[in-house]
Amino acid sequence: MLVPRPIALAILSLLFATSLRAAPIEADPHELYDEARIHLRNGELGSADASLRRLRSILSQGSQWDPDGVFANELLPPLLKKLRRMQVVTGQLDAFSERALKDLTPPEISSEASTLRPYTEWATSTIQRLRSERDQIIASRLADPEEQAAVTRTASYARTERILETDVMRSLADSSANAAPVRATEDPGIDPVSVRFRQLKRDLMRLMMERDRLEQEAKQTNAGEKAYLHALAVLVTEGSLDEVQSGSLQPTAISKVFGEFLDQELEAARSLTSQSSQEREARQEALDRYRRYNAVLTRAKLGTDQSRRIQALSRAVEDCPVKDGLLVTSRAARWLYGLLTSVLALVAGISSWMAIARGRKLSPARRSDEPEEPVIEAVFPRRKVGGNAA
Amino acid sequence: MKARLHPLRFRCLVLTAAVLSSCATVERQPTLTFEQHTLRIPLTVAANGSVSLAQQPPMTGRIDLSPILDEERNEASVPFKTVQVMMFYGRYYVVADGFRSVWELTPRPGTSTASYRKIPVPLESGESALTGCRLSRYGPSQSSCLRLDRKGTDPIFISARGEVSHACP
Repeated sequence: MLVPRPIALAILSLLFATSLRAAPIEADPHELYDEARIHLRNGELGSADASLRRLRSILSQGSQWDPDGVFANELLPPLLKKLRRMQVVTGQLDAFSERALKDLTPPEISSEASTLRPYTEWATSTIQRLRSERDQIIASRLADPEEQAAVTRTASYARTERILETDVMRSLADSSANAAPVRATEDPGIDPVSVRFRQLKRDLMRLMMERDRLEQEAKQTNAGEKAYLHALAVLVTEGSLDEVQSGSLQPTAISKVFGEFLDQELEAARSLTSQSSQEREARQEALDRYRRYNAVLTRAKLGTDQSRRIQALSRAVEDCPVKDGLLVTSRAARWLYGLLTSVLALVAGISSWMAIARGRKLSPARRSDEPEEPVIEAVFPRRKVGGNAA
Repeated sequence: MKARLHPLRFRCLVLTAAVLSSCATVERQPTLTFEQHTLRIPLTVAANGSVSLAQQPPMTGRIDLSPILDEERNEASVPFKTVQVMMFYGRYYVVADGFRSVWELTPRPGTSTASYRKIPVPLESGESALTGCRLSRYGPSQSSCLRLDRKGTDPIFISARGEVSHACP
């Protein structure tokens, strides 16, 4: 079936317009610039590089996004230079890591060796030397403390940390494990040393495992503590806690968050011109809750006492006039109205029951008084069976 | 006699005016090129409806946006938590998600006040308020426009004179 050309054109143009409308907003230089800065600050050099490439491509197309060349001439070049400096440093850190791993050669076990002192001395001096060498690389290339801090968040820096914390000790353990049995077989006099050394090696490995386990536990505890703090903060602020704010909570900050929340509530209560009785009651219930929160927080020593704020809030709620269409303004009056309603309902119920009871009593009498309906008896003549049969 | 005096008096007046005008000095202040813009500045709105410019140093100061927020607020809208501010040719432009207009603030030099006016944004059918707003400077140098991007529609442009159009001239 052929579609007429004007209709086809209309459909196509409609589809084109729809697709244009659904297109997301094009990233502008400011967004890409902000992205690149955040990535750089977090040590994510690859992502920063990608954002800056996109920014450069937008600017190089001669688009109108950069009227005075502010991004091209003033904002982009320093950021690019910063990225290049950090890339050079991370490259040097990678080279340093490879070199350090190659050079990790612990001292050989001598036949006179009776203690592990040479090994511990070697490990200590190696770690100190590598650490100072690494820090020297960063300090010599990056003068800005902000850039130095950003480099410590890169993967290259993390690799150097692993070398210093783990790899040196591991190489020591591997080397001694290989060397000790050889020495022991070569010289029977070294056997006691070998036994002692194996024992120390086992101890060392056990300590390393213990350290890893404790680190893991510490991380879990930290995460748990954060979750508790977040939950607590959300609870005391009745769910109005900002996500960003909650991410950086310290134990003592719960009270601060609670205080700020109370200030907001106080400000909101003071801005009220009137309130209904239900609203007032809800606010008073909330005040009771805040008092309980405050008592719990103070008892747990999670900050300062917020009683003054709560008192001020209570006064603000009390001072706000109650206006609503109902006559019920207090709890006692409401009880009275409830009681009255119940009594009325009871009276209505009793009246209905009496009416029904009376109606039942009257009904047989009324039936007897009622005139009887005339009844016509129908008399059907019997057919004589077979009498008139044809 | 009176008819002769009239032109004489007139000439005297003209002469006096000429002398006085030559004595008067017209103060002409020199000018220089001065383009005053910022990148867009996201600002958090305080509970009293004001924003502090010190959130984005080195700027400092405070803008009371409560008259604008009161006008933009409707029953369905949630409280405005953040606004976007951008200085463009010396004037400040304010917009936020949930607004129906861009607001132009013209600071009064030497005072702590600014005049303000509404620049209504033509909304598309089904669009009750602006969403996903983003202000940018766009266009050729010296005659650039303020570009307002928002979700789902084409951008609009506000010229230095405050005129709204669908293209930057």
